Amino acid sequence: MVAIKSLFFAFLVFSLANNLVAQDFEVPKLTSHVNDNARVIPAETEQQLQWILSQIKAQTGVELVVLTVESLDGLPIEQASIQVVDKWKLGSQKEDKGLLLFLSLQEKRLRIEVGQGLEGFLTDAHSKRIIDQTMVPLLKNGDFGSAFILGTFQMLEKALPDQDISTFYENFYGKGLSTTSSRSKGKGDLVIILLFIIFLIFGGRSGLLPLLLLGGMGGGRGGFRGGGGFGGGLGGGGGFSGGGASGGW
Amino acid sequence: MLSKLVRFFIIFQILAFVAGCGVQSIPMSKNEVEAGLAEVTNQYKRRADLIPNLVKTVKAYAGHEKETLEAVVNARAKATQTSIDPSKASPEQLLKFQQAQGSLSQALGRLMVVAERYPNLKADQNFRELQAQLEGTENRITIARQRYIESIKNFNNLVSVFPTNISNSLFFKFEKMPQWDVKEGEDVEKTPEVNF
Repeated sequence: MVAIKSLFFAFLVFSLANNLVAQDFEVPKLTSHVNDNARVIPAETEQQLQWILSQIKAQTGVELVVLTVESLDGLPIEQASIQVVDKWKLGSQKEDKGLLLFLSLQEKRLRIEVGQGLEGFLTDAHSKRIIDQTMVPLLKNGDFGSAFILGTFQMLEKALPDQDISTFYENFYGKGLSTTSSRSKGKGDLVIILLFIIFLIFGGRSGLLPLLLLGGMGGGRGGFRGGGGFGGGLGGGGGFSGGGASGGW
Repeated sequence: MLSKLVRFFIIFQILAFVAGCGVQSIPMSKNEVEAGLAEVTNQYKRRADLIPNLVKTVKAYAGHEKETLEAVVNARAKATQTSIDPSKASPEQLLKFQQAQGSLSQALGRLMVVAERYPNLKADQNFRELQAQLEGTENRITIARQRYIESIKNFNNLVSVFPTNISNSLFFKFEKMPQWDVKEGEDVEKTPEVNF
């Protein structure tokens, strides 16, 4: 009994010490196309983006995921970002068409991470320009919603040069991608219903996803290709090698 | 019926042993190390390819910074001469390669510091694009190096840790690979400070 008690105590101390020492950045769970853990994106924008990005994934294979976090716990954003994509493996294993738009609130840092299959389209220079010229001015004004709408729009425009990306955004933001969405009420309701349906389908899938992915994840190696591809779910084994750009506001 | 089951069981056991003992994983991880090194050299080459344009752009605005510019050109020439064959790179070759790339990093770092003093250069669209590309390439190099280091660690574990070390001494007789020298690498390679 004493032995068990002391063992338990040792375990407790160990885990406590572990908690105290290792205040490392932890990769959040991939729950949907917009993972707003820092809660900076307005709810409506979040839903709209959710819809747009899942549509684009379904029709073009390009998987863009937005992630915001409170803090990077001292890690440079480039390091945190590669850890995230190594774990999430956005894009399919075959095409590597994954994109991450990553923001950390506390450090005021921003990064675009580009999958291997898109590096030729959305270059480092493009990414840098989107961050510095489009997103940073909006973020400085505290307009996170517009920053993410325009940021994702411009990323996808470059990543998919043959597609008319604005058709995906037009539903919410009109033809000129004006950042204020003034739509007729009737249509708004329809959109909400549509969103709800998609959310149902989508939410159900991503609930199943961790289980389904577990089977293919054997090894857990440094992060080249692993993971089993899974149509419809998020994260299909796409590879990243550090393309993209970072910035701050 | 029973004998069939037993046979199946034995075959399964053998397969499990072969899969778990390193006969497969040791050569695989050796390949991974080679691929990792190939990626590192590939990214360094990418950086070298950016430099001529960068030098040209800086020259247009800061032509009289001859010394710094020449240092970059020379370091680049040296770095591109020291190439390595990923499948049969000796530790000495690797060290040489690392040093050559390191001095190029230093020269580039100095060039970027100099560039900070020229507002017109900093405002030049071409220069800004090159700067973004250079920044991206440095990041790629860092990641390629990290993965390479990780793959060496993995290989060395397989070769030296029970039970896979037994199959290694039986079949392959591979030796532990020298780890990419991070500490020295970091001393030599001050990544160019690229600030906006």
